[in-house]
Amino acid sequence: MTPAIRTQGLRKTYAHIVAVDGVDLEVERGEIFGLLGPNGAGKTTALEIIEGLRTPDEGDAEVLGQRPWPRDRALLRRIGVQLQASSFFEKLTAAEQIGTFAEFYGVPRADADAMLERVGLTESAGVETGKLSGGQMQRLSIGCSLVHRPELVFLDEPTAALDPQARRNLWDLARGVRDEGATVVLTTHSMEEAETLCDRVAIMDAGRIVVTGTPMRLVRDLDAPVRISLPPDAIEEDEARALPGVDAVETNESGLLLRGASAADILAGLAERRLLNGLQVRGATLEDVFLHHTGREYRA
Amino acid sequence: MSRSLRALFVEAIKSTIRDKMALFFTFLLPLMFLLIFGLIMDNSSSRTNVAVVGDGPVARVLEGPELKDALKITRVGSVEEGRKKVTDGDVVASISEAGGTVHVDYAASDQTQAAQALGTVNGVIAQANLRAAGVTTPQFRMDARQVEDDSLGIIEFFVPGLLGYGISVGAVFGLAIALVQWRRSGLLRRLQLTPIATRDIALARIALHLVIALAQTVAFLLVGKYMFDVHLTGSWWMCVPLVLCGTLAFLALGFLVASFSRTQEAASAIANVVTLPMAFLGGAFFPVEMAPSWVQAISKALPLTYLTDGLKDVMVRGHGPGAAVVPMLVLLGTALVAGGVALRVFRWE
Repeated sequence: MTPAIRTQGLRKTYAHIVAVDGVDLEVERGEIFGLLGPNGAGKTTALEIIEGLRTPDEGDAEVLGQRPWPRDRALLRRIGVQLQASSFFEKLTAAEQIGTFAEFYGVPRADADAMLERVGLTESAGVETGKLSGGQMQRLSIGCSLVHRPELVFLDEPTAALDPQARRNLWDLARGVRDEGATVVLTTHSMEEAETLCDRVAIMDAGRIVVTGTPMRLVRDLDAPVRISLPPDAIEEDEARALPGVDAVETNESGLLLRGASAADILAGLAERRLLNGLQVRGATLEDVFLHHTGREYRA
Repeated sequence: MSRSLRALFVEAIKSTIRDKMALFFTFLLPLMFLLIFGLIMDNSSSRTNVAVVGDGPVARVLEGPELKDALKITRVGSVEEGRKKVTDGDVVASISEAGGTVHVDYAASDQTQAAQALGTVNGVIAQANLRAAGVTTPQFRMDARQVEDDSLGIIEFFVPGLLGYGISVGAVFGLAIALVQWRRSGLLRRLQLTPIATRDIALARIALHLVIALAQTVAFLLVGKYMFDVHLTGSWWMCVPLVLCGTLAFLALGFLVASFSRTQEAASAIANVVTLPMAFLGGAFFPVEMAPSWVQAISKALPLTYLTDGLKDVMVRGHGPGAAVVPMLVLLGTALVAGGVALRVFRWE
């Protein structure tokens, strides 16, 4: 089977600004794939090209084995897209909204009601869309993109306006969709979300993909120091500095912070001194990977 | 009809019914104009107010049944009282008799009405003189006939004129605002990502506005008939195809407005700039035939002129169905040209 998405050398320039600068991407079927990157990195343009809304200046793309542009209605039937904006028929109720989208795909009404239930909006079924809360609108928008059980679904910052409960429910929904065999491509600014939800991520910056892989693999490849914090007065600073594997020590009001390349060496030393109570080990996170690759400057 | 098209049409109807503002501007406002204009210009108020002193032979004729449609008589006790009513503006003339002389005190501030009063009194005196001279069969008589249908009053012009106005506002504003709103909210882009045919989006909106236009026409005909007793002439039913062609022309203009507007505020301002002068110059509010020739020249370039003129021809001027053909062709031509330009200029985002 062809991959869900395969692109080669996508390039798109707007009036001297290179939005997408040679993007090669491959998304397997049945995975949750996260496209990460600071604002202005070119994620939106890249996705718009893949969704068929724009044609690239250079390069090629294949979505579910088809070229996505010019607008291909047969292909659109197989994909689902959720946009950030509240792009709705404002005066329709939540149930009518999702029902209208269901009609576009020739899906029975019952499926629309079931999807409304799945995104937790059955109680708001009769509320005019314009009067829903931000989180409810976002869930409705996700429901509308999934109502026809697409093979490939694009979610644009799907949990941005959601509270923790709704966010976790949405993660379950995304995993459920994947487990039914569909492919999920999402963008997010939450590294926590990317780390827990995505099977693989790609980090994009300045129009290019800078790194791709599973979140765990990326974190490991970063080879970042571990940080071990100890309660105050557990050990003298000088003694700590002398421990095997410790590169640096910091003291602050909440205790001591040890840094080193190998958690195993440091922990062994601490265990010998019976100092394991109350200690915390923190390795690098996907956020460290992200900042490592994209820098700390403010973006657009 | 595809399921998508039906779903879009149902959405359009529901959204319109739920949009109180749109309903107000497309239905209530034009009907309110009709009511206001109709009541102000009511035929009965065209009677001339005069005061009459005493009970002489001329006074009796003035009060007689033949003049009851032309004069509204107020009886006063004295010449002074009559003069005061004239100076106060309550009546345009005060008429008193002394022997063979009829005195008329009139106000020159309303020359048309004063002339009407003077003419009427003069006619009464002339007839009295003839009778006094023993003439029973006058040698000359005047037979004045109105060229329009006998019952034609000013309201008969307002119904087709304001109907045309309502159609233009409903279509231009309705489509322009909806499209800009859809573009701003990202809905247009969202719809592009569904498998619906672009043609269906257009067809659903066109169908919606044709239904609205028909509803407006029915409302105008009912209000005209039952509130103002408007007398329709033989081919009035040709107003239906005319209104439909007009709707297509104004939808194309609305599409054009949407193409040049980024925000709803801009769309609404541009739509006003398009519809309001067109209403004034296109025969919606007053007959353009009375305007200077350069105004008439501009008016000939406006699609609304053809709609109102066509509607007046078939609804009240008693022309045959053929009178609607040229206006309909002009309106369809407008729809094609404006729609074609808009298709090239319109942006989905």
